[in-house]
Amino acid sequence: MAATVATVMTTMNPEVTSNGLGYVGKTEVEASGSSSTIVKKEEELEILIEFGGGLHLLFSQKPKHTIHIPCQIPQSDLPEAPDMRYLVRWLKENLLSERPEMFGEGDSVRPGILVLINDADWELEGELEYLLKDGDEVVFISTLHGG
Amino acid sequence: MSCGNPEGAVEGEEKEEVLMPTSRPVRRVDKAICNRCKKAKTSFIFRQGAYCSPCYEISLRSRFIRQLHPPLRPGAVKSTLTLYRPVVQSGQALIAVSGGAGSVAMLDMLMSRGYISRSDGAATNRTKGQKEAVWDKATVVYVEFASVTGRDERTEDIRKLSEDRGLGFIGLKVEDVYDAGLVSWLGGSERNADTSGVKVNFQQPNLPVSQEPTTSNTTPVERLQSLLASLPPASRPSLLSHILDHLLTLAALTLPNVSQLLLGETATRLAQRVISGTALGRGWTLPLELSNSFTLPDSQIVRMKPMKEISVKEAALWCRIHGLETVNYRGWDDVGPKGKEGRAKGGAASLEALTEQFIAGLSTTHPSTVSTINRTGDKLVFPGDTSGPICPLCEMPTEPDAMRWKARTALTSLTDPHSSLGSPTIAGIHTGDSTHDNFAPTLCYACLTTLSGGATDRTTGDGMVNLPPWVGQRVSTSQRMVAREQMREEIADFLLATEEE
Repeated sequence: MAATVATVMTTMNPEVTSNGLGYVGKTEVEASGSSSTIVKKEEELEILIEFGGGLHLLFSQKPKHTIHIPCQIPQSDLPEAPDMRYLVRWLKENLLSERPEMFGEGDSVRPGILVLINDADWELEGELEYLLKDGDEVVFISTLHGG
Repeated sequence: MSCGNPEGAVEGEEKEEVLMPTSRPVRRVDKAICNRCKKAKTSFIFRQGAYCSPCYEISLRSRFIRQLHPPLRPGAVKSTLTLYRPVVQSGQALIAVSGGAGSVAMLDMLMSRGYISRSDGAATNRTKGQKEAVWDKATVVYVEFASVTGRDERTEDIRKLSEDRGLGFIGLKVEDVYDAGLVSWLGGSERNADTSGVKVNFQQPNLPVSQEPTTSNTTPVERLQSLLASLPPASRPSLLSHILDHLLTLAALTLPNVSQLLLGETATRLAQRVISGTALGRGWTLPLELSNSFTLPDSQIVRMKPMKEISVKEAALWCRIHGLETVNYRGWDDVGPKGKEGRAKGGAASLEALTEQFIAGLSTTHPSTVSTINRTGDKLVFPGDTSGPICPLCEMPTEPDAMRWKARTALTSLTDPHSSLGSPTIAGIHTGDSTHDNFAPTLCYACLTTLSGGATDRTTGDGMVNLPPWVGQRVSTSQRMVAREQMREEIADFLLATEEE
């Protein structure tokens, strides 16, 4: 699975136990799978992830993350480059602390969450079909206020 | 003759005259190039229009000004409303900031465009293109809900946001509604007797109230949590919204020399308000709530919503571009203990949350959803009189015969369960008699629905819950008025006729 291949580099405070919504965040080791390596490998892409509008509360209270994902989707029959669909799934499986329904819906993100790819609306880039490149910056901003 | 689409006609056949083409020609736009300047690469898409970043900011500012200027220049000719900057206002602006995208973007636009005087007192230099400020002074007011939502406090963040811009700051807490000294703290003088001991019984359909001495040792937070716990989860966001409105209004009325109260409510939030307000039975006062220019009762203070034409997506992007940190999630849907009630799709417990999900979902496939709803909302007209009776809870005009409406649309009590039929009948609420001790007859239809959500299994002990002092105060006032009217009716035969009669 991606969790064993990809790594995540965050600077989480180990003393933080609540993310502000009353949930306990995962530790760094849990978030990065079995590996805690933070050096990018050749066969990996480095993606900058940023959460805004309060969405960071679901991601260990850290608004910025640098993640490394494989250049090709693992366990795939064809050599496919990772796209936004893969990234959203990867974030849900590896970085999301709690309440997955607050972030994702189906393959995509929940309606009401804006996504910017390199400071451009992801609708212009093909949304879930956008193929990620090394050094891409992906921003998720929640506009939902929950009642 | 046909009214169909000529595209579908079989080749070779004689083309018929088309009266009503079923498909309109779709305007194709190149989403790679900005629709406005036709030069730069597109960055954002709004309502099927694509803009580059500078053009997006220009578009946003023009819509902001279009809503900001008219209430500040009430006598101006319509065509010149947005062209010229309003004159300096006599009072200060009170800017309500929640920390969400709408209010933070509004604050940033007001400051960046020089609508509020700079804190260093430097004179405006018109030769450098600077424009005269509209307000000499402004104060930011923030209401903290952390004690009921359980989330991190943001008071210090908002204080820093305000003070960095040289603005005054007032930080309130939601539990302050139970604080008898709040008005004094804000700089006003207490005018009324202590009404913090007014309690209501949610177990009875008429919501009887009683005045009890304030001997309880409970803290304001505990009283508020008790009140929230006694209501069904679906009613809690409504109550919190009324508390927020009351605290903002109180601050505007109490702080010295306030002339405008500015709210950062975006078009998206207003569209949600139209749908959820209608569903909650708030249609009577909805036009007043949606209005961009509403004069607060018993004052000259105007409540404005200059972000009325800007969607929350646009506001969030403005904050992103300008590096402003926001937290949009307030989580009122999760406040209080979880009840036995089921949750709707997406985990929503209230109509407000359900409406938000509905509009957000529909907007992905129909980008004009928000503007369509708001255009409909703008057509609504308030049919009543703003100087009439006021609902004690929401402090908006009360529609006549709310109790009769409620009795006709809801089962408020059951007949004797041991009767021969044993089936429920509409017993209704007592509508004409004994209103001395009841809270229900003074409420508007929506608040009556909010508070009569069946709280029999939530309240403990005697079922009495402390009302916020402002509600108790208004209940006492309306009860006194009702009592005077009843007394007048009783002694009508003994009153001397006036000369006109």
